[in-house]
Amino acid sequence: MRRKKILLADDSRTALMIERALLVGSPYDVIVATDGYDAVQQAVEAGPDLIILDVVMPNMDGFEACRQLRSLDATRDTPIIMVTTRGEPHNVESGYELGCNDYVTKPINGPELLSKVRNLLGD
Amino acid sequence: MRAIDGIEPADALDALREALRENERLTDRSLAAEQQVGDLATLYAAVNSLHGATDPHAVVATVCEIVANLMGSEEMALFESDARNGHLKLVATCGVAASRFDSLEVGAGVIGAVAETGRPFVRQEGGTGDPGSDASITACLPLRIGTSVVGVLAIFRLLPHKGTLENGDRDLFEVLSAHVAPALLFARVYNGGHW
Repeated sequence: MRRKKILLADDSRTALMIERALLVGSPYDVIVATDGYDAVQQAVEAGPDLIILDVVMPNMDGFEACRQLRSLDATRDTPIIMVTTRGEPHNVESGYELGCNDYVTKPINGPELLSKVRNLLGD
Repeated sequence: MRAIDGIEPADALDALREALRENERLTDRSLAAEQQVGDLATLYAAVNSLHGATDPHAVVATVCEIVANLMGSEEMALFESDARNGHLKLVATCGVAASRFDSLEVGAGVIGAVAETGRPFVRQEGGTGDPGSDASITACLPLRIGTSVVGVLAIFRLLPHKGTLENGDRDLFEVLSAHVAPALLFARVYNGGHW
């Protein structure tokens, strides 16, 4: 069976490290992008099954990356979990309006993230 | 109701109830294990990021990242103890005005007391009020090299959605207390003593 692929997009080395550490025991392959532009490019090239997208990133933020991902045929239907440092309603609403499927807030809660990943991947 | 394949309905019902209870127990254990993995992943990420930084600015940026991404606060200040004059020297701040800490003495206020005693100060429900004030401190941690206290890390208000400190945060405080100063020292030595 093909292993599912998850794209992690975050400019924080620490956040990427914890997300990778959480997913390391799961049956997923992980690829990494460090800004929004890189995330869109990698999503188109690698075709991940799920994207975990930080909001605050250099070059292109997570909201714009989400908007672009939803406008491309290759990534239109790829589930996206947005990661926000602030759980304020307007941040969450903006993410949903741009087409994200779910969101988590930092500091990331391991079981919560894993549960959302499994839910969106149908595992 | 009559028995099916020699099993009485009441016995089958009991077995089903027991299976459901067992299922609940296993789900609880699985969730607890995932929480533990999450906590360990946090500590791993913190230690690895701190010791992966090779210049002092990167160490300070990493401390800010750890406090924001792994703990849930965007306000902190890092101090070094100056043993010669009994003052605390501000090394860096994130999200708080540096001017708040113009002259801090060892022994004075929450930060000075932690520098003097080496005992961490932790406010479970988080600090409130004016950013940088003693009331806004959520945690104030002695920074150690070996058994010596060489500085202090003050973490102020928590992000609104964080609410209160959690069990895992205390482990993270211990990691910060033990690893920030050695990481800074190494980065300075690696860079010939320069920032």
